[in-house]
Amino acid sequence: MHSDPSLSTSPPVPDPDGAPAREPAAEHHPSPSPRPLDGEAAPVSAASSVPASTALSIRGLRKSFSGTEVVHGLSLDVPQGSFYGIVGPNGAGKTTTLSMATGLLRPDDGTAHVLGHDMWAEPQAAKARLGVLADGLRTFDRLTGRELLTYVGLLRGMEPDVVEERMESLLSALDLAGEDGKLVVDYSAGMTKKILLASALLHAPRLLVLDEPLEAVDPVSAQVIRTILTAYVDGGGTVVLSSHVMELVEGLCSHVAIIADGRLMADGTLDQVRQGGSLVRTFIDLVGGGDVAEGSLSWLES
Amino acid sequence: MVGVLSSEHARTAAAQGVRHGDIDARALIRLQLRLKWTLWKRSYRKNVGKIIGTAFGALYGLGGMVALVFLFLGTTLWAGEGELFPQIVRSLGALTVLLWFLIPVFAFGLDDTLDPRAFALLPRSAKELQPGMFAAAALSLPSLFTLIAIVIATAFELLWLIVFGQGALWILLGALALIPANLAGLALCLLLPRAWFAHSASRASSRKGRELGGTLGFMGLFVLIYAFSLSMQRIENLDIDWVRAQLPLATEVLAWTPLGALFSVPMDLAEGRVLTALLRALIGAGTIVLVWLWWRRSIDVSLTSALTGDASSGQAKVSPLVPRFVPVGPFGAVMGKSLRYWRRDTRYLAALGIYPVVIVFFVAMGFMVPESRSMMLGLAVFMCAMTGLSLANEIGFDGPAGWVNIVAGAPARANLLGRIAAMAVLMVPAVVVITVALPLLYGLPQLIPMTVLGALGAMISGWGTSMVVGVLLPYPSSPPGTNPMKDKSASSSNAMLSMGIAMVTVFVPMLPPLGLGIWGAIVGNPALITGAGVLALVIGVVVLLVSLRIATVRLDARYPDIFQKVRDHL
Repeated sequence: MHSDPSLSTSPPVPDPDGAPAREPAAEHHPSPSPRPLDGEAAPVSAASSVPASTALSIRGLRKSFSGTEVVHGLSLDVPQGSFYGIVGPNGAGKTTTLSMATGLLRPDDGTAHVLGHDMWAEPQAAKARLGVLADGLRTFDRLTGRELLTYVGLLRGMEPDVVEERMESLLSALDLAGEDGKLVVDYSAGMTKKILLASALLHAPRLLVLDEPLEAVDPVSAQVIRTILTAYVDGGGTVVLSSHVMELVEGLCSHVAIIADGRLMADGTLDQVRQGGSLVRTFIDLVGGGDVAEGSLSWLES
Repeated sequence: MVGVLSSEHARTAAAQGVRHGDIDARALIRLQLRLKWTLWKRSYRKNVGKIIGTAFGALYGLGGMVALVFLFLGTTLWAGEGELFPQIVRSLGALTVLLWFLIPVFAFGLDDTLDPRAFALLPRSAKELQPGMFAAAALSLPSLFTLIAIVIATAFELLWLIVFGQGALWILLGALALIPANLAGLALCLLLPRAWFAHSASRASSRKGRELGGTLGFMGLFVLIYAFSLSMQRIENLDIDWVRAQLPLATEVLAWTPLGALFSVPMDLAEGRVLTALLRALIGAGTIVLVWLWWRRSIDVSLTSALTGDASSGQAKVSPLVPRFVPVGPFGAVMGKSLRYWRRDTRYLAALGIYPVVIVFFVAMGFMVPESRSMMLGLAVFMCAMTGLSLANEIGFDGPAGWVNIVAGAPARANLLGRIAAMAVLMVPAVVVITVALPLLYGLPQLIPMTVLGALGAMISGWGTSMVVGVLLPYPSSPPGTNPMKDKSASSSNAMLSMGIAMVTVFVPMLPPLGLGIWGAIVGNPALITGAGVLALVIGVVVLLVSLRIATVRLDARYPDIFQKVRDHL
């Protein structure tokens, strides 16, 4: 939770030729288009260098699907030891960005450095330091929880006895130890999240990237996951999680980035981004929308 | 929300007395029909395969109609006698009902656009929903063709009544019963499969039970096909006259069952068999009522258990992931995972289950038609080679789960080799047993070295080819546990391309040993025949090593891109 303050914000770089990603694209969106924050919480420029001590540094990531660009040169710095929340409306490009940062989706342009290792130039070094929980993707769910963890641990080249030992402690911490013989396909949504979290933690990575880790998780399990993640960050690890639940991010994260429409709108510590107000307010101001015309749902009151 | 609803608006809404909770029965039917029609139309959007399939289906249907017209013409006007026609009508009627039941249950399933479970949240009872669902069931291409066929049959039955009827009273009675009886027959056609599927969907079965049932059904279908083709081998021994004599009896028996009762009522009346007609009408009406009530009961159960069908049970056997005889590491992990998938995933299990059926067929065929033995032996070796192709879409079978391998940085070589090893454990013993036992059973023991070595070589070459094809041309598969009879993933153009290329590349390297073997057979030199087997094995191993190298390099470089191609199951 305690990060180097000099890193906690991305300094507003006075970029000479501007962030090429944002300017031209902004022209396509006339008047009500969301504009990035200015000041302390202004986004990183794609041209700025990759700091040596970030856990994750994204520079100018771009991705198009069948001709439509969905991520427009996004840059982001995640300081080491931070609990970093990425928020954004549905379809903002959170998952696409994280997929590119974690080696699942080859970017059209840009780089992602995990603790100084370029994900796409030296993937093995980057992946060894990184734990990932992907959202909305199946796992090898015809395995039992233990089999899945063993599989992931051995694939990572871990020693069998280390895998065994860590697996037992993870399973008991996540309250999955009693599910021997149950296939992951038969797990509830919350149990599936927990076993995936265990897979991501097994090799004790220094950076955890979690896409919607608390979605569909019951309150008890959610509390367990929060405790584990907080302890992990206190021990010097870095967590990047995406969510569209503002309250979750506000209660858990030290840093936050707001992504909308494939662009970074703001990033920095929680206080820098919310600027004295609430995160929800800042978010809605940046992203727009959120009003219901008066009287439009009158029949609901009858 | 409070600010949103002004008190004035609230008053307006209350004053208007917004009513809901009941709907006119006919309006509901219309609604369901329109829903079915809209969804049916949309199912063709961006679905070229379905359009082509439907076009072919419609052509077949039209062809069937034309054939039917000629069959009826032949048995009425052209024949000049009316003996055969009632028999044909009765047996065709029973056959129609039977096929309406068997084809959906065993082959294509049923269009369940209006799944009752989708209505579970609406305040409608099964009784209210059922007429609309029945009407929607009638709105399909097969029902349309059945209706046309019945119209054709009705027209000819009328013609037959006029030309060959026995007495004005009977003709009149027959004609009066004609349309209601035939429509009731059509209704039974529509109802029977619906009731069956609603019943099987409402049973709270476990995931394992459902998946295993689908696989067993699939194998059962193959057994039936092969049994049929075996029996066709004996058809020339059949006494045609005896069959001729038995057919009327069979038709008569069928007409007493619910299958054939309804369609034979008008014919019975026309022949003056009033009591028979009455009894059969009773049987038919009773069947319809029972099936209707049975269907309603199942819908009722579905409406209150929309989710229980997905509940699961069953415990997997707990054992270490990596098999005992394999070093614990990435290779062992992949092999252990693959071995479990062969057992627990119906997509693999069905592929594995089909081979014993085929082998039994070869053995039986060889015994029934002794002169086909060498060909059956060749086919058995060919089948062994084909087993290697079961691995040709491994990355596609992983589908979205591939992300686990990518983020774990799975070593490409272990990832591929582990899958081959798992298959080898399953198939090598089976292939050796078959290729030793089959020549022995056929009394050709001198061919054993060739069959064993040749089959192993072809299979090993198939593994290598599969790996390259699987990495270069993966295609999206159906999710694990898909009923093999409903698996449509193999019919995509990508799948066809990929499998076609895989088949060709398996056989090209096997041409030299094949040539050598044929030469040996022609000149009658056993050494040459055995040499062909040795050559096949050597070539197979070389193909495997080279292919594995290519696939490893490719997977190392492009795994994320390959993954993105298959990350959505069909």
